[in-house]
Amino acid sequence: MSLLSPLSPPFDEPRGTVGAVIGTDHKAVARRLVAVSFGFFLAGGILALLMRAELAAPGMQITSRNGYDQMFTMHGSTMIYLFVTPVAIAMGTYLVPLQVGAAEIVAPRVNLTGFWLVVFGGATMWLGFLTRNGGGSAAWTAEYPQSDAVNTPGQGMDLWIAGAWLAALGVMLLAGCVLATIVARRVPGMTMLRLPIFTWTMVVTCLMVLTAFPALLLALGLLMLDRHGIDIFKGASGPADYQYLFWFYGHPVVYVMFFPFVGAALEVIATFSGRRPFGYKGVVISLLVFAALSMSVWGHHMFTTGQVANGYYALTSHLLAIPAGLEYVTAVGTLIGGAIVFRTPMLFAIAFFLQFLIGGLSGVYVGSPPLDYHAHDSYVVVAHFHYTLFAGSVFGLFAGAYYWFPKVTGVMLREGLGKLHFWLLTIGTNVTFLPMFFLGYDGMPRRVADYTAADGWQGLNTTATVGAGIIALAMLVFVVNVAVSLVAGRPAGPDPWRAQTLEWATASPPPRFNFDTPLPPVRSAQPLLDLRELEAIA
Amino acid sequence: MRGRRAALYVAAWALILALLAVPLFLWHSHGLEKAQAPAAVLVTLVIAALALAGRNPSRRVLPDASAAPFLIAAGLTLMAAAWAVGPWAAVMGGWCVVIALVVLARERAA
Repeated sequence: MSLLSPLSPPFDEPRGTVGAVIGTDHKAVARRLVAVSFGFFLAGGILALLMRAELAAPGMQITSRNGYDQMFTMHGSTMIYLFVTPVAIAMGTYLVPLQVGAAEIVAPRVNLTGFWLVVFGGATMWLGFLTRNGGGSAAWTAEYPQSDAVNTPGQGMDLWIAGAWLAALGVMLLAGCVLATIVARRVPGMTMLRLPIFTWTMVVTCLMVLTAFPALLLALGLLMLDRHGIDIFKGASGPADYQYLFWFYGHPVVYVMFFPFVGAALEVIATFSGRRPFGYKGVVISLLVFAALSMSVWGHHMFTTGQVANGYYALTSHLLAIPAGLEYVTAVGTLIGGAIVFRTPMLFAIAFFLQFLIGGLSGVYVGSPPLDYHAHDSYVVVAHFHYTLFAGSVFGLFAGAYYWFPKVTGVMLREGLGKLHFWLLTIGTNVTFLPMFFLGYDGMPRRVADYTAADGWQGLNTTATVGAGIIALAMLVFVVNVAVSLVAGRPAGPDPWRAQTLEWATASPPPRFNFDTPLPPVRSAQPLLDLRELEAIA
Repeated sequence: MRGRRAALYVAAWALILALLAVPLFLWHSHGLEKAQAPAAVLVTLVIAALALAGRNPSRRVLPDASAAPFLIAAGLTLMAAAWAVGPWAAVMGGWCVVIALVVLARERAA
């Protein structure tokens, strides 16, 4: 049994609306956080569709320029503060206690507080749309002086700042609980070098959240003071000062939105190759170096300001290729010689690595100051970060979603609908974001609501808009798959994939305190694979 | 024991962060730019120290439900939103936090 077994008599898990508000079980909190984040994802996606509709042809068709500013601000903010970051931490909240053999997460009340802060933060941010001047409209970065009280007046921007602040604080609390669980609640035998790879990715993710996010809290707090008459960023160095603080959060958060999905994809690849992950210790070392380097590259967002040490940040940015390359070696090394099964999670995992490569390689381009001067604030940057965050992270998220859905719900997702979702999303993603590289190369600036027919950008923009429609269709297929499977899904059983880590050693869905049966001995990072190998020998 | 081993890895990460920050001090860079990496190293070392000081888990009652987190989050939200909607929200938020603390104290005493 795990260490924190419940005292008798067992608790009654609160149900219904009251349970949804005050229940502290980490699995329930994580499920709710995933549901809320996915809701924000759909809302942010609708804004993206409206933006793509506006850009499909020259001229202003469906919104005003200020309306468009609000749309791209709330699209980016929703996706980063309210969807990818929280959903990455939600995966850790659900899975880490199970993977380390713990009965509960450390500090469940703090964990629940984090969840509610994300929910209330998101609601606060979106409430801005109801104010007289509309929602926040200074981009997800709220760069100064664009975000000051003169350039973006009104309550909407204040609510945006308050919402982002609350959501970031919530994610910090959630991350603290996940990290503390890894530190203090591992089952006997599970040393740090026997942690599953996903849990290792959560170690570095949580460290980054706890060290980088305070800079955002400080930046937004000072910005709020500045907007209310206390001169903080006014003056010649103010805009750069704000950016120093913001980007110290703003770049690490990209990796907070990346590492958990690397972990998910590597676990999926190992399971569907029937092999242990190749080079486990190398992965651990590369994750530690990768995470530290990603805390040291933030200045490349400021190359064109002339206010940072460009040489230093160009060097550290390019060094990222080494640990990133090691992750790829692990993925490919695991596949080689494996008994590969192309189920839906495996398709998403492989696509994650392939498509992220496009984002990563275009990162080499914008990580070079001379080239970045050309690409800065163009659609090249938009294409680059959508290939990392959407074509990369979101595909890794879906790899994890299809893989762990049976564990969370007890039923399998439909394989046919899963593959339809995969192919539609792959086609839609590339039809949407690949043209943006060419638009940027042709000089189309980002964050513009319109262009003229003489610019010659309509064909590529229309193509990207069609791609966005295909993405929407893919998401509809996923929603239908989830709904159909929840209503009439095939029961999954404890371990439908013949997986390797401890979460598969319990029922699906797991009981209140995670493990009702004795855990297998932990002699490696793949205790269930050890067990099967021992049984095969016996 | 578990915390000690985890602390070692956290401290190792702090060391890598510190090593990466050293060249920034040799380069021409801004004061705030230089200050942030050491601050991150410091936070990481605090996390390592907490991991080191963490007690071994014992069998104890875990809260199955608690109203305090909802109230604290609601209180903080109202206080933050007060910048936009007025000081009344800060007062209401403050009351929410006070009620949450009372609820928390009662839960722990039960």
